Amino acid sequence: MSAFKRNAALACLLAIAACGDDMAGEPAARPGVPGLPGAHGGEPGVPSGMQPGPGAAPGDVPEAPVDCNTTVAGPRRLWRLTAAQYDNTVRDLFGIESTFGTGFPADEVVHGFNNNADLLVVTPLLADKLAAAAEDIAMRADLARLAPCVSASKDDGCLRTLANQFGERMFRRPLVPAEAERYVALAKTAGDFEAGARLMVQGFLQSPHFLYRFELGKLASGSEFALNDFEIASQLSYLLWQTTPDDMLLAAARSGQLREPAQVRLQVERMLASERARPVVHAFVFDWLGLTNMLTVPKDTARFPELTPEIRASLLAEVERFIDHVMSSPGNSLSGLLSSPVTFLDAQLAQFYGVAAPADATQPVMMPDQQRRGILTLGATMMTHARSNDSSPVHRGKLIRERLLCQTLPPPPPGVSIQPPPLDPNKTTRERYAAHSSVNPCVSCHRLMDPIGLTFEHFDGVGRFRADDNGNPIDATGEILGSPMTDGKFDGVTQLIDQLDGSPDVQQCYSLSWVRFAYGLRETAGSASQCVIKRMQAALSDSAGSLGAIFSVLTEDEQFYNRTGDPKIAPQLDFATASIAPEPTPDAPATGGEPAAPGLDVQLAMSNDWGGGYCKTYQLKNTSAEPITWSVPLEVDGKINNHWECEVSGETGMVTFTGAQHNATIQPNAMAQFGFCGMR
Amino acid sequence: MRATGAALIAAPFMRLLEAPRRVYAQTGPKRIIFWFTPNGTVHKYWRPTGSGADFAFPAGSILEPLAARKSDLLILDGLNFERVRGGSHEGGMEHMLTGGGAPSVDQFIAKQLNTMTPFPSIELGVQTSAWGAGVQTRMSYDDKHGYVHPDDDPVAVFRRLFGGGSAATGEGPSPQARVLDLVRGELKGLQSQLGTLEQQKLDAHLTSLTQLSRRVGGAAAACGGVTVPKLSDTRSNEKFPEVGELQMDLLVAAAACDASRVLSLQWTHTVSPTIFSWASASEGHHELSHKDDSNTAGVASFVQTERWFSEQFSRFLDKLEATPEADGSGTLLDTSTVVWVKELGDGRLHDYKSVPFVIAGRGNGYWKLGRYLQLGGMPHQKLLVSLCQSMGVMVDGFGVPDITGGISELTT
Repeated sequence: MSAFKRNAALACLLAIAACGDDMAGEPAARPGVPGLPGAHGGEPGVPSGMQPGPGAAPGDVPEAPVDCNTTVAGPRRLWRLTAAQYDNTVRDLFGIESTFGTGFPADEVVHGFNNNADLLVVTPLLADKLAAAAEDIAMRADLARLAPCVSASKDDGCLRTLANQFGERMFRRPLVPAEAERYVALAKTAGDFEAGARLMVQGFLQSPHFLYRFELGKLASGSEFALNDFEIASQLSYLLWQTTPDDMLLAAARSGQLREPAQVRLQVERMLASERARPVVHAFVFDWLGLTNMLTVPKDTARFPELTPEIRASLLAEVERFIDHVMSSPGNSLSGLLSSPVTFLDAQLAQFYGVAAPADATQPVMMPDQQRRGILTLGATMMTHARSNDSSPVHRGKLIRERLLCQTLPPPPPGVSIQPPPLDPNKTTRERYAAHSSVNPCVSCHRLMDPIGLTFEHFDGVGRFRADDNGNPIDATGEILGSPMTDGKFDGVTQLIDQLDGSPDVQQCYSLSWVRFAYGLRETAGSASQCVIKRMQAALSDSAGSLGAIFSVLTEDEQFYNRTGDPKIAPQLDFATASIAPEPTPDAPATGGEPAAPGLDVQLAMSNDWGGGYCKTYQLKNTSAEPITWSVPLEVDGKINNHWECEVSGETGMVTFTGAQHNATIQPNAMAQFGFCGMR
Repeated sequence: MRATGAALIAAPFMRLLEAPRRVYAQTGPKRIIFWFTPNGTVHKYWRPTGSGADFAFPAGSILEPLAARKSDLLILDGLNFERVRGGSHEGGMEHMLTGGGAPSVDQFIAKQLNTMTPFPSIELGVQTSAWGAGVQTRMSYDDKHGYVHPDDDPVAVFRRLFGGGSAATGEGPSPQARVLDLVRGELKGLQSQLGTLEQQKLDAHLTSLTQLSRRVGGAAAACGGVTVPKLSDTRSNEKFPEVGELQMDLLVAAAACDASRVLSLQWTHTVSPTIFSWASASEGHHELSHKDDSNTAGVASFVQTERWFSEQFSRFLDKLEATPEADGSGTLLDTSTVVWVKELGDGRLHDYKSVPFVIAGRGNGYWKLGRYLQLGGMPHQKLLVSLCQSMGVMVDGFGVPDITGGISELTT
């Protein structure tokens, strides 16, 4: 990886340090994310993705040359479904519209993307929301759709069929017998068939085997694990469609085809041709270019009354049609995004832009304004990357710097008043922002942003073309500095775009962004991702680089087939074929009043009492040399209204507590706990 | 005690002096509520005049809407953030409740109290999440420095806090409890097979389910009388006041039925783009927070938005005062502490000097209220220590190892 990527941010940092300002040295490490908290809270052109700070962009990639003949795949992992993937998956499995995911706590955003596998965890709030969603979905599910036997025979056999057939869709792999029996046993506790089937569905929806995509593989050699066919099917499906594998993918996995690149290529072609790939490609571009909030980013409605919700919807339709048009062409996708001269206008958007309305909003027309070309100049981009009441050279320069060049800018030094220049009807934006290019310490960083952003001055704060700025002519000259393979001066947006289109820096950044989106991996996590960036960059510079070529590179890579890990950890673990959990122990019969087993130490670990009720938690320890299937009799004060990690023989008086499935048996020296609340 | 040892390992800079009180003492606050608003302040429009018990809020100043509650307040001036990692808005946001470590003070208190309330802590938000989760948009951290997310949707909050589950009927555990047992069994099976691989993820997931399983089939019905909020589109700019109103009501209701002893309300986030059109603003709150003194109209508009927050704070205190404790021990304002926190001192400068704090609520008489304290550049970790101690969590340091002690002036 060449050294040029580090220059801009580093130079900027050094310049500030040289001014004697106190730049905080210690990065505020986020778990799994290196670097400082975000760059320049003052002017976030790309608000959501700006963490981490300098050093996490390509500049963070180790300098040591990578030998792409002996690459190392990323780590074995469990990759939790994102909120959007959850909704898509529920939609496809149950045939219902799912918006549950939009109510989940927002996933962490890094460089614009919210799918970083390290950061996707199940927090307490998410666990609650998943449980609530599971209840609702199970209630609404059309059981006959999940297993046709439901209409014919409401019996244990059908429960077993449901567990195996629908379970395979939920887990994205066949269930092993012990797993299926666990879900059948759960269903049978419900008392009647339908309640049981719904309870089973509720369980599946909260299972780790559903919520996480397993990328563990099977030990192949050394520390290399080969992903199994079902794991690859899920990768394909969630990469291209952001949803669960369809019947064809599962069939291909069952017949063991998906470790063959030729078969994978056929699947990729099939899936890319589907309508389902379109929103996924939109999502990539939106995350990459920071357009995700375009429908909600607040604007001054007094200054821009024309920007109605309807116009925002038209701006969204325009950019989506533009992306579809570029991505369905066989040419270079990056070049098309940056330079395509056509767009799609409906009548109200044409009016908003102040141009004549084309006959058909779904057909491409030449961009209406002399300065408009490519996605950077579409109304959606210019509107989102601007201030609430004004254009913004800072936001727009930052967009190019961070998302086209993948460089990260440091925050401004403390103690410097950074009032953005107020609106002034007598001055142009360039005049108002002049201090940024003349006053230290501003100039050291703003010279990397403002001269680029000022080139976009022909577009106002909501993305409309303007011939002049407050009646004054617009000087749209600018310059890129600190990025040697892209550096240079330009006059006007089209010249800037010419400079970006074809730049190896931009090709590398675009490739890196695809890798982040596709693998949810930090680029430093394995050398495979660095090699795939190189290969994709090579494809782009060959003027090939179509969407199909990008997905070919992504799905032919080492990272798509293998993982790296400690060979000592569960070398046999293979969920497609092996047993994964012990058979459930049958419930111990209620044996009220017997003393706890010898060797079982029972301690009241905590308790809380508010008069009318109370809760108690007990800690159990097996002090003997043999496993104990435990049973603890206790005199209950009042009536039990809630208990956890245990089964109870009754609600009042002398009650025997026995283990739940997971803690019924305690190994020697191991501990378990259970608890209950009672009302008096 | 085991709990103490575990806490010391998890949070090495929080030096516990004695075992935490498990059952709250009658002398201290029963609960603590954190209240966040963003983008620092402009001190000359925030500061009261006078000092000590003899102070006043100047006409037109940010805190003036709290004048009627003067005797229930401690206005804290001169607390600095020390040892901020990073900088700018983000550094302050991260430092505000953590003091530079992890977890944040709210989560630490919740964990040490270890009450058997249905929720260890409750986090509500008002439009905190449009930018996803990040250092800008989160203020609470768990002990692994992971985000503790607020819930921005009042309808979902209602369901989670007051909707109840299907309670256990007849013999045996509720269906939900059986589902959770099964899922926990699967997670434990994975843990034992995967060893150190993805251990943190599986541990976190299990911990989350343990909290949930405590409540399944539990006594949510005890929280009667809360009405279901009706609201759609919680994310549009114009709905901001309405969402805030519902969240305040839900927070008060959660406190009233003792759903938790540690609660928070986070109004948007640092660098917030919210346009306070209801307070006559036409620019985003963050943009307004950067207006120079020379820009009098801009600063005046910022002050208006900050006064709006003061009005909400005042109304929130009124709601607490209007709500009795179930056990007849007084009103919620008698028994609670509310702390208004911010992430920056002067927002224009992105600095951490004299970050404005307000303590409100009588906390069962714990605080010596009705005063304006000028603390002269004291590190704010001392405030975090005092907040812990007020809740019976006897630490003498928080966040960093070498700043110790609380602020004795708060109680004497």
